[in-house]
Amino acid sequence: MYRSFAIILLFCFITGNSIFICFAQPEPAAESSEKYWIFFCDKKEVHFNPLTYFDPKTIARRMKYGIPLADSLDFPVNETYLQRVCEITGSVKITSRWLNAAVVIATKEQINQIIAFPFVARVEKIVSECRLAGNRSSPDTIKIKLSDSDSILLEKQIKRMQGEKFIQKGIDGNGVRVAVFDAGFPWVNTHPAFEHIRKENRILKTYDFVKSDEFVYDYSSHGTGVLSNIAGLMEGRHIGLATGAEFLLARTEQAAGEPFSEEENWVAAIEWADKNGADMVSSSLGYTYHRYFPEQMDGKTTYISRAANIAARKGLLVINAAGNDGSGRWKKLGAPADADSIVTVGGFNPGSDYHINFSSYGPTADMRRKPNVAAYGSAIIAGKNGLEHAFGTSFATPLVTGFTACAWQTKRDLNNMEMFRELEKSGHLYPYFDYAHGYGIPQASYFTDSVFSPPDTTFTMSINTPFVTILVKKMASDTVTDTVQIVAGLIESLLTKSFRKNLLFYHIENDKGYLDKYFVVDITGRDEYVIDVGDVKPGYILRVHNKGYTEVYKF
Amino acid sequence: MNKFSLLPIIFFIALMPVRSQDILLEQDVNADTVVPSFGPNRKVFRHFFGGLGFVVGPDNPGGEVRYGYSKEFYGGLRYKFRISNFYALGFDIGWRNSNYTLKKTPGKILPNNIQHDKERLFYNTAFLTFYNRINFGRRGDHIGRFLDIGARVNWAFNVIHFTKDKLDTAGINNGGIIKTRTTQLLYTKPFFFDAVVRVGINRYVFFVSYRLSELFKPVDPELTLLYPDLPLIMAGMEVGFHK
Repeated sequence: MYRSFAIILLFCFITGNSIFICFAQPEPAAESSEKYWIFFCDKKEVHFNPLTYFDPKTIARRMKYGIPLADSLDFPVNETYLQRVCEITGSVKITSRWLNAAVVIATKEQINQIIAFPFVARVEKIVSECRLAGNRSSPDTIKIKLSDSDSILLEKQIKRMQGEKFIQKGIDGNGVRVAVFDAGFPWVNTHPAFEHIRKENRILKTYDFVKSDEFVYDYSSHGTGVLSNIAGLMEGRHIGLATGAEFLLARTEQAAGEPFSEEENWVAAIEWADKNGADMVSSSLGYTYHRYFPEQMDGKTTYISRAANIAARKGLLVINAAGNDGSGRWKKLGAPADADSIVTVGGFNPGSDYHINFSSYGPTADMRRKPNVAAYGSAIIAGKNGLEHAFGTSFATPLVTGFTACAWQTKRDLNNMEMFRELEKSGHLYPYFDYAHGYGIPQASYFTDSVFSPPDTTFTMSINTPFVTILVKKMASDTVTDTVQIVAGLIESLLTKSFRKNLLFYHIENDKGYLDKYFVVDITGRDEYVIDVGDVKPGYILRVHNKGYTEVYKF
Repeated sequence: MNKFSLLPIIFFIALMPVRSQDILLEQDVNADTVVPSFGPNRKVFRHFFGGLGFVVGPDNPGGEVRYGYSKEFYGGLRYKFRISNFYALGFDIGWRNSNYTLKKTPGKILPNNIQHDKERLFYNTAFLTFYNRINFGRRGDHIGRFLDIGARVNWAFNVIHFTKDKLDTAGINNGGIIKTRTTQLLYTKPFFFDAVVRVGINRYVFFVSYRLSELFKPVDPELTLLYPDLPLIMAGMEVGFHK
């Protein structure tokens, strides 16, 4: 018998004990109840006063950008309809003004009654997945001592965006209100990395959309790390750049694992953020294969992407992670990163300074350019024990959010979509683009420097079809510079386990404006690089980028 | 070693001509944007699986088994062909090792009435299962929740009757334990059939199988007396090796 028991234990060990985790949190206890979206036909006889409903900052934003104070999307869901639904289900979990819908937990019989109402347009079942447990412990001692490599990374994650330029000029996102959606924010109310925010009461509102209460300082620590990459500051060292911004914190997820998510909470949270005067939304989650197929990532299919686009129409700048499926079967970005009016953030490897392998790739299913920009997908965050090293586009996104809050502070006259375009233009690869890196990592000098100096020509192109030869330009001091760079790179590689290379980015754009192929090549120490363009047709474009300089050739 | 002691070596390496032309990242977008036909909820999917089950069905007098000890391991390759989002057909091919540990009872007759300290029947079988899959709930490219109902044909290519006895007078035969393995058993049927029901969430599956045919045949065709059949029901857990 002991042997059999041992075999069972071994079996459970091999399967990663996930069986027990999965079943530890079963479905709601209600008898065969499921979660449904109820979509209503209209908003007849609904009265709405935007001046009393919205935060003054929302009203100011809408007036400033010429957005109507309220349109039919803003009108609340008809109370009578909700009451009729409540009479059957007992309660309504969430309502969405923008989608004119409500989420209920109901049995099949109850749903059949609801469908029969003349004011119900349609009903859709919401797929629920098993969830991971949240971390409920609190920090024992805060450690701020980082290893050499982590200390360098903390500096680099800010410097790679030229964040020091914002810091030197005292630009800290002041006056910008950022809503952060995540799976929980434990220790944000006690951790020293957020002391400057707490002191000035700049966490304006919090709401837990999972539990329907205001307490969010518990559960998964993912949100704590994310917030620190937006605005964290510890012993004078920046973890994020927007240390002077205001915050709205929303818990929309049960856990940090992206697949186990609550799409409807996100929709409710973004309406809440709009209502409470947010300028920006930072969200580090994505919905992929559990609910969708890659061909559905067109920005129109998923509710979350549709809500993200509505938010953009209302003047919010939504920043979302591309996802961490780059090296997996899914590979492409998830929802809402596919929405066309939101900033999608990819990940760079701090060691190699190009795409980090797990960062999800674009384009969208309808071939729109994504991701838009990128930041380090490996970063130092505030965690349980002080500062920790974390991986994921989840952390690249808040780095960009913090950057954008500062950038917006310098150009408050821009509306959200103008800021979006400026952010893309500030990318270090711009005007070069590809579906792994977007326009690259945003650079603060684009917003702080009044004089724009064109980049040095680092190469020339010699066209001799079917080959294009890239001739790497050598300056008089290049040999010395190269050697110094290589030595510096090698020293750094010892500390950070990375090696700085001379990277050449190039892509082939077809006559429809889509990229057919794109490459990153290491040309360290090379004088030339040959590109085979034998399969390129007339009208196609070759775009090559090296060290800030981009050259374009149209066939 | 102190990392800074490596600096002279690094400096020397740095002075050497460094030349490279490595493609670090290459993406063919057209190849990526083709809708695949292979995937957990695509036209075709296949994956390996492994499982562990226990005998749970009632046993018969004369052929009683020890529950908990009588179990099976199996593994194989599963094919799934999607018909719709809610229905799929498929088949499994694989290998099973079933172990029936026989109880020492006074009335034991399987396969004889000799009482052994340990006695087992091992079935090594190759199997082929055809199944219908009903999926529940909307989902993307994901296995999701499902119910499988299928039929399995088993070929018992190797059946072993194993016994183990401790000698009372250890040392007489220069040893203390006798183990026997009898193969090519005349009383076992080469083929038998099961009905299989599986309930799963993604890669985790619970199964129950019910044997529809007998395991034993008369040793002598003239004799009609059969050995008592072994329990018909097995239940256990299975893991699909896929994301």
